[in-house]
Formats: sequence, C-alpha cells, structure tokens
Amino acid sequence: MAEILIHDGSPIGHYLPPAGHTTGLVERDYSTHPVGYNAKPFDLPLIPESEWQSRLDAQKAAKAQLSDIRNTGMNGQPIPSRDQNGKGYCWAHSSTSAALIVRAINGLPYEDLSAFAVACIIKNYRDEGGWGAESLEWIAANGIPTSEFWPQKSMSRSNDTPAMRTNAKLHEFSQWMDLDPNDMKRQLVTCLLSGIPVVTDLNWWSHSICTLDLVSLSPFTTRIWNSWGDSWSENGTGLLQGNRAIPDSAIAPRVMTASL
Amino acid sequence: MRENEPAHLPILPQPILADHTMTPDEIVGKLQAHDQALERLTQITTAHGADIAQLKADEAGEIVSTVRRRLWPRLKAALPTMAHLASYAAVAVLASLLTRGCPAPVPPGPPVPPTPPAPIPVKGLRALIVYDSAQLSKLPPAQNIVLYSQSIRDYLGANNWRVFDKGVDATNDAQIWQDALKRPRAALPWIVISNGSAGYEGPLPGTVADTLTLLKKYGG
Repeated sequence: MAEILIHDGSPIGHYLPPAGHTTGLVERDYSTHPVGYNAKPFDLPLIPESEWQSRLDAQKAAKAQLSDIRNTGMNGQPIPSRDQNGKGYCWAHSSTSAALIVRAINGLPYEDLSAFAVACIIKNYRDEGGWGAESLEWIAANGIPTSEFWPQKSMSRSNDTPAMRTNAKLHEFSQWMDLDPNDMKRQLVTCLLSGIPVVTDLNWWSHSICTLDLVSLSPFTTRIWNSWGDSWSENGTGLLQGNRAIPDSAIAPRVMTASL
Repeated sequence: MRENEPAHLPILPQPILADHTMTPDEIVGKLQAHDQALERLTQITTAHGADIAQLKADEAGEIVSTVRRRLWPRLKAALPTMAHLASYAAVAVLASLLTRGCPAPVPPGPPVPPTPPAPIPVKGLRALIVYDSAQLSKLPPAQNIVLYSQSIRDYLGANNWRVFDKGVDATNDAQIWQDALKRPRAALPWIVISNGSAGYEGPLPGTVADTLTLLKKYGG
C-alpha cells in the first residue's frame, strides 16, 4: 500500500481518522505559552536553503533518514507505530514516537514505551486533548514507562506505581528545542536534515504527529509518523505536502537518557 | 617457577643456542657449561624476579614484548657492552622457556612501543560515536550522515554500537558504554572503535566510506 499523501487540495475525507481513531490536539496558545516557555528556543545554526537539496539527496542515498532508522530500529525490524486507540491523546503519542526515534538513533534497544501513562497522568485519566510540548515537558521531568509497567491503551490508575515511576525515569528527554512559528519551515528543515525528529502540532488537522523526514523540496513534502497503528497508510507513516507540512507548533527533542 | 626447575635460572650465553628441536633438559645441559654467563643472569633474574614471575602468567606471544618493555630500559642501563646484550636476549628466551618449555629464538633488537590496550575491553567489535547535538547542522553533510547511515548500522549489528550526544546521561546503560564515554576526547564528533584486543580513538571520519574502512580494519 502506498503512503497516504495529504496536500493542500486533499478532500477532508482523505485524512479523517479511520474508524476507531481520533486526533486530540488542543491548539497551543502562544500568548500564554510563548516560544521557549518550557524549553530553550531553537538554537541550531540554520542550514542555508542553497544546501537543502544536496543534503537531502545525500541523506536519501545513504539511507540516513529517520524513517530508515525507524524501519530497522527494532532488531532490524520496523519500530511499531503507537496507537492512541480512539482517545484524544495524539499529543502524548507524538512525543513518545519521537522518543522511540531518539533511542534508535542512539543505538539503544527497542523499548515499548507507553504514551498512555503520560497522557493519563497529565489529564488525570480524562480523555482530553493537549499539545506536543505539554507532553514533552512532562516526559522530560518524569519519563515514559514501558508497556511492562503501563500497558498500551490502558487508562487504569492502578498502573501508577512506584515501580512504574522508576521505570519511566529511564526514558526522559534531557535536551529539546522549541521551534518558532515565525521561522517554522527553515527550522523544521534544519532539524530534519540534521537528523532530529520534530513533534509536530497541526491545527488544520487538530492533530499532533512526529515528523521524520524531508521528502522533497518541490513540492515541499515531509514524512510523518502517525499514532493510528501500523495499519494506517503504509506501516503507519504518511506524507504531508505544501502548507499541510508546516507545523503550527513544534518541538524537537535531541537527547534522552540512555538506558537498557 | 615450575616444580623441579633449578632455583637459579640458567642462562644462554648466545641466544641462538636454543631452538625448537631441543628439550629443556638439553638446553639446560648446554647452559650449565657457561658458568660466567649463568652467574650474570642469575643476578639479573634475582633482581627482577617479580617481573619474571609475572611473565609466567602471560601468553607466550606477549612475553618478548613484555620483557623488552619492562627489562630493556634497566638492562640497557646496566649492561653497556655487547656481551650484556646477549644476556638480555637470553632473558627473553628464558622467559619463553618458563612458559612453554619450547623457546622460539628471539634475536636482540630495539625496544618496540607497547600495543595500546583496547579502548572497550570486551570481545567483539564495538563502536561509540560522540557528537554535540547543538552543532548537528554545522557538521559537514557527509559527516552528519555517518551518524545515521544504514550501512554503518548494518555493519555493526544490533547493540554493538552507540551514537551519543556528549551530554547524555548513560548511567543506566551498560557499563562498557559508560566507561567508553568517560575516555578522553580531543574533538567532536569522536569515534571509539574496539575489537577487544586493539582499537582506535580519534576524530570521526568525514564520510560513510572512510568510517566503514576504519571499522573494517578492526572488525574484519
């Protein structure tokens, strides 16, 4: 099955969540949560636009894109997509997907991280939306447990045990950047060409996903990793094109604690 | 020292006197004819008895280089004549005798620098790349790709490598990676390669091809 491509002219039915799935983004209010409110602002030197194409070509030729790492990140097999299971928890799953990628970049063994722990505790077990930076901030302070300590899709309070908290601390973000909406495209491209996943909030979709790759510059296209399971699109990833690919809010985690 | 061996170790006045066809007894018989040299070597081995004892525990292949490294500077200072050089060579042969009982002739030669120990002391190929994530976009593109290259990851295999930011907290990773991270670095990005017996530590090569070449030098 080919990857789903969503562009500016795509009919809404093309990207509505399939049965049993939903989105869950609450648009970030920059008046109350300005750039850098819970992270340092984007601080990478921007890659000049004149270099974008050659870097992209080299990245693809070496199979050095983040989707390549995802596709072999579980002992040579693809890392499974997260599944928010019809709950409005996309904003916690996008950060968790980014955590899986950072661990794979590091060469750490796959851990089945459970975003439901993050979302349930932040929202006091209510099925509520949020934005990516909200979950990332919590993960930086508390971590994400594996499904051994918090089963996927579970919303049970009984999961919140000292052992779960201890396990979650093994998987914390320690460095991340808040991208600026006023320079979003250049910062997004710099991250993707540098090998940094981007937790991407898209107001037009009311959805938060993890952007993995720059796919093409003309038309401008990115590859995203959704949280609707592996059955969505092609093994859980799809393509966004044109303005659909530009985040409204974005945060880029660079470093996590390393643990076995 | 082995059981039944003489308390005072014999000496070869000329190192070529011993070869693989001789039994230890034959060698000892010849050696005992050279009383003066025997006396001299007895003095040396007595003075460096701890070194000889340590040598017995080592692999025979390491004996010669160890003898050279440990004893040569002292012998050089103590034995200024050519005759003393012969005594030095005899020490090497004797050490081999103690370990194998079947010595390989070792001609005297200049001391060689010791082989640096493997930076990651476990068997098998391991590699650690350390970089500064705040400078990722400033790396030359071809070098940036090394951090993510599929071919390098495939070559190294699962769980035999790490690619870490310089500030990573790895206290819950395996001890070998914690130790490798603590090794001194002169620059970033930096690579540590080890096969358990030898290795490389230095700046990360600038391309995937050069990195693979370096890895294959140690990984085969």
